[in-house]
Amino acid sequence: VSAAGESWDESALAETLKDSFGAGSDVDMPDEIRFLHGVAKLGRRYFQDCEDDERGLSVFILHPDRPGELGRPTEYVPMLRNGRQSLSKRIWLTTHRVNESFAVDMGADESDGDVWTYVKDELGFGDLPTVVVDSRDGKTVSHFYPGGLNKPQLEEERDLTLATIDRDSLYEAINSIYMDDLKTPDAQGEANNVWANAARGFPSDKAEKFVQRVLKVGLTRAFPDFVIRPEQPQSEGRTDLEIEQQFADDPTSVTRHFILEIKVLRESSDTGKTKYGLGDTEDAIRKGLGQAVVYRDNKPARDAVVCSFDTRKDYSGAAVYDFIRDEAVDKAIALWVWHLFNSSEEMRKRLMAGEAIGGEQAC
Amino acid sequence: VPSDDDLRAQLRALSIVSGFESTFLYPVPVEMVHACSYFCDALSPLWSIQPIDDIVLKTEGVPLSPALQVAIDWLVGHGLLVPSGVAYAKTARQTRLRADLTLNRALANRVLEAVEADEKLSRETSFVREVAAALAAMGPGAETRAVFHDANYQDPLAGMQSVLDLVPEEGRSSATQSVLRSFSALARTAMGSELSESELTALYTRHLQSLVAAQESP
Repeated sequence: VSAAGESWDESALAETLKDSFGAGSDVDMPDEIRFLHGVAKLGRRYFQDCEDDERGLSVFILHPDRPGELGRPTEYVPMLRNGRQSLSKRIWLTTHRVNESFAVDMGADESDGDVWTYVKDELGFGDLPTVVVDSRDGKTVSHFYPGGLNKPQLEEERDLTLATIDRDSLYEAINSIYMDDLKTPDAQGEANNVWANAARGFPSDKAEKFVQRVLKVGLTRAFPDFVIRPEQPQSEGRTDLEIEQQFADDPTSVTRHFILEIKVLRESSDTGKTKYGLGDTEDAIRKGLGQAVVYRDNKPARDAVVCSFDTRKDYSGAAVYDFIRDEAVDKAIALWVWHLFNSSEEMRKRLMAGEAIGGEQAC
Repeated sequence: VPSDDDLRAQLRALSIVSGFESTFLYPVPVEMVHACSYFCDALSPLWSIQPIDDIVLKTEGVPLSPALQVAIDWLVGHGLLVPSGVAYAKTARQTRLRADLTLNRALANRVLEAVEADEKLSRETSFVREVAAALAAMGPGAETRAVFHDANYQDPLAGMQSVLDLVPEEGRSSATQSVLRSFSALARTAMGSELSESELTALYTRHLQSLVAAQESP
């Protein structure tokens, strides 16, 4: 028993850790991504074991203000995460923490179209970020509408029963993040981005941190019921990103699906005073491969990948890995690379030359 | 000219009210602002931030911080916080004014935007926001129960009217710090994960939530 009394003793704390593993790992993310992450975790946990008559449509709306008159009976639910509430056939108005919420019942004979119309036209919430969890027909799927139900073209569908992530789906997710948020300074969209001086091609000394943060947010969006964890210390160093998931059958255990080692390849320092050659690039990649092998084996994790983001003018694609490809294949580490253009104009030149934009896989 | 301590207390009060803005408990009762500040102080060693009050007197109700109240009064007087529901609150020992608070965004935004631009201050604001959201989830009037169930307050060795040391000298630990260490050790041994400050904060407040909820359940 701790000095704090029995309610704070280790067995009670272990229960909380089991129930809330991963909580707080998303505080540095935008509210709508935390909202998606919270709904996905809640939906996965609730629907994995529920009875068939508990299944149905659940509509979650990010609405952090106390609602006014909604035209239907409304129930205040302060602790949605405790699992005591039936999630289905209800519209949930909740915060980014997906706990304190207001519930509005859907009518028994209401169609999906009726629900959409009620949310958009009667409630006037069609522009608010919304996650619809559809647990009918034995599946559990989330549909994320970041621009609300009024913008169905932005819908992102995710299977909440995924027990694993394979290389193809991870590569596809990172490629999508690259296309949306990384490929050019315009896409990066922030003053403190990959570049210290984009016009002169000088990458920032904090470029890896920026890429790590963008990938963390993007991967949480792509795999919302998994935990994306940065900077896990080991005796040999720190992993850049880990993708992990609690066992459904044994929540005290965690599966680590991937270790991601992130490298920003550069030909100069942030001031341009120090130049780096091919030998430096190969050293950085060799170091990344070594880290990926050791971290994967020590954790242990199921798989590991070296993700390089190449800022060099002489971008060579996957050929940058030629000197080490065989070793990576032998050690079962994936090697992927993306080109970070220092301007949109440079990217357009590549497109005009008929070249594709996107990642390349060496192995 | 306000001292550094005055400024820190003013920023703390402003951050707390701002934290409650994205919850259903808004306007936020002033007692909840004090409770939130108490928990921020108890968790401050984890985040390596300076507390507003490093010791508090254990009483039956929410510990009211004189420094924080002066800051709240200053913010109300200068129009950054807007009071509503002003009333007398009587206890066995005293009668005081209480109110519910909202931000005056037109004035407060300039301060909060400056805070956001500062890496160290924005980190502290983010922490305060998480604690505020966790307390808000316990519902209206839960501030006294939350404090009552807190690890420091529950310490059976500390009776009413004793002084709780939230930030003990090096080599000693508060009950909160012991709980945080236990969470870290459990996660490391059971799951192989090193938890961040924000995860430990979330676990601490979620455990607190479960204790408050268990008391409320029939």
